Amino acid sequence: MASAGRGSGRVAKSAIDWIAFRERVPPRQQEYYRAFRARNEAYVMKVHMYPESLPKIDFAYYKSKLPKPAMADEFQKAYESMNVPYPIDSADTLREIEDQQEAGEKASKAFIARRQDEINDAKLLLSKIDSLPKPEEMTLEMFAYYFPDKALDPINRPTFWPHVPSMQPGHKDNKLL
Amino acid sequence: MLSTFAVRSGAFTVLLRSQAPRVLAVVPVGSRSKSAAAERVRDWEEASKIFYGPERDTKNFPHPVMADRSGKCRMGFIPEEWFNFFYEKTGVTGPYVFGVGLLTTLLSKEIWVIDHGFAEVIGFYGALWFLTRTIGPKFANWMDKRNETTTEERFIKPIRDAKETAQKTIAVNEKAIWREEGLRYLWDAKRENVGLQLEAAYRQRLNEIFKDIKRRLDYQVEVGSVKRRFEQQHLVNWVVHNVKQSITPQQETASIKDCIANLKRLAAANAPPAAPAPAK
Repeated sequence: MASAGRGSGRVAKSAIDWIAFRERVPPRQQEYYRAFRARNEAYVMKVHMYPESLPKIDFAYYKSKLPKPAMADEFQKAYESMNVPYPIDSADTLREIEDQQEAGEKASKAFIARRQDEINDAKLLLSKIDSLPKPEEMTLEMFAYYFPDKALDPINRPTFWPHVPSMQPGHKDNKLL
Repeated sequence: MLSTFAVRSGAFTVLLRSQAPRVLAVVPVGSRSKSAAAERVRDWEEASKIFYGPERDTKNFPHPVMADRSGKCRMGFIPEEWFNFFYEKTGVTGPYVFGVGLLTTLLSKEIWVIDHGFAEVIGFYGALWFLTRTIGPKFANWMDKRNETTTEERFIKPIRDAKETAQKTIAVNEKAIWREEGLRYLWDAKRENVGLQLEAAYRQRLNEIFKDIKRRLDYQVEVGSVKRRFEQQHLVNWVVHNVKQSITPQQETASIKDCIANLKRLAAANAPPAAPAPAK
């Protein structure tokens, strides 16, 4: 499917698994998805407006009707040896799409890496969180070791009595200072 | 007697209660938090190395665990261990003898002087005993419940929340990755759209050729048939004209007379039968 519609072969119908595609589109981008899908369907309909190959002409009929039957033969020869050039992608849209894809893949690779980092962090935390001591084993000393940023630290972060966050100057709940 | 006061809640709970509820580790969805989680885990690993690591002599110095309930007491306030200590050396009556002897010594040597204020001691301990018996269990229950709530709030819920958040983060991010991988459909579809447009243009060309050829052929056929029809018409007209010119006036009158005679004969032959006699 990767080479679908790469210009080499003729495309007559959509080879994209649109249902699987829709499932992968985030909910807030479904509008864009629908517009895109409608466009594709319009193209397919436009393709099916005309027959696939050169329609047949009943030259025998014309031969009997034409005043000069040789003319019909001439027409037939010309019609059957007609070489219709397949239209080329003059705007080089495929190249543009390739560029888009390259940039998009780079961005999505970065995005996936970022998301993967988050997953790894969460997994690391999940794997280690059960190793925390139970509350009845935890002393204040242990707390200070396990959560150095949360424990009381009178040397580096001195606090006012009664040493609770809500009673420190600058705290939003503090009505005294 | 005092043992009912010594509930599971210790000084630890009191200390913790004065602090705001804390979140163990927040891993916000969609933010860069690698260092935060990694640092937190590193802190935990270092701390558990100190408190539970191989260097810790857990046999001789077991990790202190806060007792769920206070120890057993005899006579309401004397710890069981004291009796056990005497039992090994003096038997069952030893501690009681020691207690009575100690009391006697204290009183006889006037170390413990019974003065007029001693009545207050009796009243005070009597009231304490009474209160312990009546509202002690309720108070203990209340304290236990409070302790449990605090434990739930400060320890169990934060851990549960952190786990839930982490699981949610994993689920959300995995879904996001899965969706991101769906972009390949978009590129394929875009390429396919180009192909479809080219195909549509090609088919249109074919159709135009077909239509043009057919129109030319039809034109030729039409030209031929018109020519033939005109020739025929002209020939007929010419013949009729010449025949008409060849008729002389005598011939004309003769033929008219002949016609009239014919008409008369026909009229006689086709005359209607005589009208039937009228009814009487």
